[in-house]
Amino acid sequence: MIQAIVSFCVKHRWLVLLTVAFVAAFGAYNFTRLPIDAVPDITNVQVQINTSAPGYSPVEVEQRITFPLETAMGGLPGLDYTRSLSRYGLSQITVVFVDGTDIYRARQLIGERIQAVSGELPPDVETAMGPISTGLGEIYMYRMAAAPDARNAEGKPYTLSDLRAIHDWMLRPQLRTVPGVVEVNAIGGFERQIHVVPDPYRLTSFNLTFADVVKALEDNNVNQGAGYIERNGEQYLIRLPGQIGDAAAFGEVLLGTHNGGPIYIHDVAEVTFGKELRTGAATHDGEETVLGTAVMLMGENSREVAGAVRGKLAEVGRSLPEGVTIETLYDRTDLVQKTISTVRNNLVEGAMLVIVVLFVLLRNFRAALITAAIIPLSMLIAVTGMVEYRVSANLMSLGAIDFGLIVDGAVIITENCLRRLSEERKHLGRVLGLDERFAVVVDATREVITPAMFGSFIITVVYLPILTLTGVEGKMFTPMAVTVVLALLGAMALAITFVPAAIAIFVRGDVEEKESPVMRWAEKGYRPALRFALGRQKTVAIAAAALVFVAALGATRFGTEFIPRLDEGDVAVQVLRMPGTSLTQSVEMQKQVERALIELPEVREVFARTGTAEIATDPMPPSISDAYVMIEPRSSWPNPRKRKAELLREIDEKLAAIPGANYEVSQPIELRFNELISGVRSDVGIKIFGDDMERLLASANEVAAVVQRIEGAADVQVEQVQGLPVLSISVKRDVAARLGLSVAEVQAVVQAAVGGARAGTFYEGDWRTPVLVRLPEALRQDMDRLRELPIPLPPAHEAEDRFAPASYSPFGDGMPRVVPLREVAEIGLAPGPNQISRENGKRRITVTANIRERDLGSFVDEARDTVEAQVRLPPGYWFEWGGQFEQLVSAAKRLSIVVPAALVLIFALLFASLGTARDALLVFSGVPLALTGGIAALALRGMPLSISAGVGFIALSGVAVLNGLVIISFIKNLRAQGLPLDEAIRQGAMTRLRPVLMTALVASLGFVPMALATSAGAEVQRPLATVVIGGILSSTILTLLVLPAIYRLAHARDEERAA
Amino acid sequence: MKTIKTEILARRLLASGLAVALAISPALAQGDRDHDHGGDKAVEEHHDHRDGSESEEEHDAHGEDAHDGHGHDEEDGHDESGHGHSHDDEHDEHEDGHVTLTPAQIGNARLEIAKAGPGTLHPSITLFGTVRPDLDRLVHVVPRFPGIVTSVNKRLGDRVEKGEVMATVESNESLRAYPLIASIPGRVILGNVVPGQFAGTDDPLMVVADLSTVWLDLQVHRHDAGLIREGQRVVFPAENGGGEVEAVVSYVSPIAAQDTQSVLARATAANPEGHLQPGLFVTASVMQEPVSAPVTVKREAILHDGAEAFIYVPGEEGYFERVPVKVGRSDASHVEILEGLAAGISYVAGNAFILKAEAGKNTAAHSH
Repeated sequence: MIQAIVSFCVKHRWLVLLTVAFVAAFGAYNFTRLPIDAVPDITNVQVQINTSAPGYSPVEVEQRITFPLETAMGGLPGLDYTRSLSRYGLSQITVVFVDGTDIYRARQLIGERIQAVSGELPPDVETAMGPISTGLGEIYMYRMAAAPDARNAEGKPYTLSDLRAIHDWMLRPQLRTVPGVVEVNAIGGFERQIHVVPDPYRLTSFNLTFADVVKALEDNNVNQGAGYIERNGEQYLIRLPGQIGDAAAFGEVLLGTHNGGPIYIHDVAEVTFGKELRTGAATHDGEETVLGTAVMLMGENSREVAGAVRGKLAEVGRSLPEGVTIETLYDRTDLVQKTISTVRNNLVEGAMLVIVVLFVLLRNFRAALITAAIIPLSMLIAVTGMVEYRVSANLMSLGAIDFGLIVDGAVIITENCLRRLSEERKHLGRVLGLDERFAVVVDATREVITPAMFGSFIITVVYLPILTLTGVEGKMFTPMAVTVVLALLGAMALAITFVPAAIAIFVRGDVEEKESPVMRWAEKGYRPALRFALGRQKTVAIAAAALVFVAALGATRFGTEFIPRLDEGDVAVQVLRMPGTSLTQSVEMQKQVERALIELPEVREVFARTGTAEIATDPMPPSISDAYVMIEPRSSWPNPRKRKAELLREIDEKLAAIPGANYEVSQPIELRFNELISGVRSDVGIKIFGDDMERLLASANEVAAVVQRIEGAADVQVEQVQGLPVLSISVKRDVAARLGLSVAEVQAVVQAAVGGARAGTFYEGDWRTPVLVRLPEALRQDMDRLRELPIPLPPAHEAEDRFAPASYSPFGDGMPRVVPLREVAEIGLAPGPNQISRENGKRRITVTANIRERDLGSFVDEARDTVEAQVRLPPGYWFEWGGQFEQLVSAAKRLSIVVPAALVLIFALLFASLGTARDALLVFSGVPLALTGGIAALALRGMPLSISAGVGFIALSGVAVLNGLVIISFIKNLRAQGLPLDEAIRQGAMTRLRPVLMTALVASLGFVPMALATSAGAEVQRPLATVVIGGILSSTILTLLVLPAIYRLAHARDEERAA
Repeated sequence: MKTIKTEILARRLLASGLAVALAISPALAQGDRDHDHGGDKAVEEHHDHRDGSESEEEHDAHGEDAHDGHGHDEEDGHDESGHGHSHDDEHDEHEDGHVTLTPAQIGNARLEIAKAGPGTLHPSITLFGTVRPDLDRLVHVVPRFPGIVTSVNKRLGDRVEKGEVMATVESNESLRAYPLIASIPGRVILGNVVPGQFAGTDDPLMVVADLSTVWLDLQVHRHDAGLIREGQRVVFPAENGGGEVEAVVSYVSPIAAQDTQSVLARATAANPEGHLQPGLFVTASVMQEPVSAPVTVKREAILHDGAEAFIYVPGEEGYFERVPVKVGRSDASHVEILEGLAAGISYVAGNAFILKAEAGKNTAAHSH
């Protein structure tokens, strides 16, 4: 059948070329549609439900918001699990679905469930689902800046509140219209508010309360409509404007009367523009700033969206007030550009190399070009496939494609065609006619096509185990495997169609094989070596076996690294401070961090988010900051050759000198992934579920003590759930009641005093400014003053006159009727729960541990037995074991089935191709022999065993099998033609020297730049390239020397029998 | 190896001994300075051990001394100083709240170190009040006989001298006009009278007040009632930019108002400029008797862990010891230390929170 295809292609060669051109054009079109990002998206299918509950403490949040919402999420279709977090003023429930769930459907169902329970939630909370985005969503960050001499409308320098207002009401609405932008999140500065600040003493001397102020403001700031009336055939709408149009007019609102005189708001209160009680702040290079983040919709192309955002910002920037500018801080395009340039370099370098190698060895420029054309063509086919299978292009999926490997099939075919053409030319002694040429091409292709095809199939098969990985590893490596398989299949298809057709067209005229000096030299060296090897078959076989044994032994001593860290260029530092650290304090500490980091010459700028942004995609308490350290491009470093690790060490050093916080250094996207996936990141996590926080904590401490004693345990930690300083103000009911105060009245005053009470909104065009009734700053700034907070007593009743007071009041009428807060409430300091975590609807606390110098499996078994034997949990409490070990165990389990299956499949393919188990085994033996070189190369460069290196080994096995297959099948053919064994081996090996060297050189030289790379994606490329280069060296030598030797050994009997 | 182990043990014993000493000191007689010094000595010894220059025997000896001296065993020490989170047999310094900073960290911490010492505190109580006219310098001008007002010489707000005629009334009984005379100098603060009006003898026609002194009526709630005494100095800001005004408490009411559960304290304030207009609300500080305290520290030095107060005491080589203290009276800038710290000991007076944050940073986590 293959022969039929090849003949057809040669016959209709122009049609084939046209088809290929069309496929390539389609691929080029698809390339524009291909989502390109720097790293694979490892976010699971999840929906966040954020509820902001200003002023609620963690316990209240859990009881009144989290519990009903979380319970309502039970039984959603495709639900994997739910986890929740109740923190001061915020409830976040993360609903995780099994991979492959349609996010829009999931959100719709969740929306319905939220609707169903909304009646149970307190009325003053807002529940919303997080933006439809992933860990790759934060594609663009910018800050608002004002020139120092710029003046706002009032003629004063711009404040953070001004900048925030400009951002929120001028910039954001426009940015949100950019296609692909799902959310624009702002943090920093202060939301502008109108504060009505009543003097409690004055208020109460007029017999008024806070509630009166709030009500008066709400009642006097509403527009109403009242239908229409008809007059003379016209319809007049009735409008009752009542909204306040000027902030100062809030002071003119009538509050009530006292002794016949009107009392206005401004008689008892001051009206000012004030600052919100904020939950988050932003800093930039040691100063506070306003930071905006554009969040990309899930599944969009970050390159396009970031570009569109940039364009929009430039456009909006022109219409901003004079002196106000937008400064870009982070633009994902930069990273995507790096990715693209890495991939382009791979393509260009690969193609150049193939051309050079083929030209040097074949001395035929056209043939070299044809073969090299396979690289872009197969790439374009792969792109089409990727778009089809929704695989995104990134450093992982594209950065590690080994183009040298992909062209191997084509190289073998081209070489054979060329050899046969020149042989025919020599044989006939004249230039070949058209039909003769075609016949030779078809025959030459047929000759090597089976081994070439099987070789490619085998390479494809070895990638299969990667496709079975699940979870984070799966999301990381499956795209890579899919892309490689697609490119391989594309190259394979091209090798049997395009290559013969193109050779038939372009390689014409006098194809005289010009003996390459390199080949001549190589043959001169190879001939005696082969003779030597064939002369000492057993020694060679034993030496090879010994080598494999040593390599296998060496392989067990490698460090392992499951998931490589893709270098994003920039650095992220998560600053973790003690729970309860105030926002102001955190910001001060953060400024110090930034000032220290900016001193490094390689750091361009540092900016950070502290606490929670307006949209709580990441509910950080005010004690935590996410800092982004933007790194200058290498060319402007003082020493462009400095290692990144060196820079990271310097950053660590700077950070270590700033006391008061823990610092976790990672990278922007990595940090976001960690926050979103956020399972247990230690090796082992022991979750204890139950009801009572105290009991849970006690049990967790017990478990930690037990685990600590088990051999191999390290970093044993109990999740910190306590430690938030709480000032608890509990109303003394009896005292309050005697003064005529209800608990709610006291609570309301304290609430208004500290947090402020919302009293409507002030509208100015699109601008909306909340109106709050709040107590004077002086009364709420410190704890001692809070004790003195005046609580107005209820208005004196007229009736009181009739009942004479028991004692005469020393005051006249003039004294306000207030009592200080401490009269009616107990005020105490106590640490309270910092946060309450729940999972699948139950409170939980986690004990985590890492494992050192012991294998995971036995540790977990022992720990489980010991903990369950020694720690008694109360009824209704239970353990659950999880952590990284789960994934490692399940990955290992899956691979332990899939890898042998793949090996069996390879063997079956070899068997199918060669027809005998013995020959199949012989070719198969090339695999371990090839791996030795890879292991040696890794050891030489001191690299750990990683999945990247693993992919290199996979590629190697492919090359080894491919070359072995080609040699063995050639030898078989020669023997079938009647040549004696030794002669067949010698001739076969000598004939295959050129293609074997070619494939080896193409694959290994092509990887040299990658092996030395420092650009984006280098961490994936380096181990892979190292393994392949080392492996190819060993594999080539082994294929050329050991294989003939052991073939001779294995087939010696045949010869005797035949003799 | 053995030496190190022994040293760790000795340090641990000392640390727990110290914790016991500090924890039980409230139970001992107050002002037992020796005891405090004992505690301090323990601190120093503790540091010596950190240097690790002494021999094994000495360490043991110190360990035993500290141990026996306080008559508590190790377990008690742990109980006293444990903070609940210890999941680890080892009591590392962070768990006790003690901190060691590197020189670079100290440079960045911007700590302010001061010495605890005797000091005088000037406590004050903030009270709410209103300005009222001095009733000792206020007269009602009442017609002696009912009649018709024939002329009015002084209007509301006018200054009057003693003996000046303010108005003339024609008596209904005698039909003779008689003058209404001001009995004190002052200003007319009430004068609702026009010629021709009938003036009875029940209500004052005018009120003359001498506002050169005014009363400040302060509302004293129950908590503070016992602390306010006659003769105490009162300081408050005059409205309308008059600067600070001083006054003296002249009267504390023996009875209380039932509705607000408060008593009245009255101060008399000079009002030469007239800034203190009766009717204004005022927030005043009543200065208490100065207290001389043997040990005082700056207010900012006091940190809290729940309800427990503590301060940091710098040791050698960047070591900072967390010392629980009992806080006494305080004024705006300083607090008195009743227990836990002796005079002459250095303490961290400014930015001490950084140390608490450093000690507690390992409890920081960002989990979801």
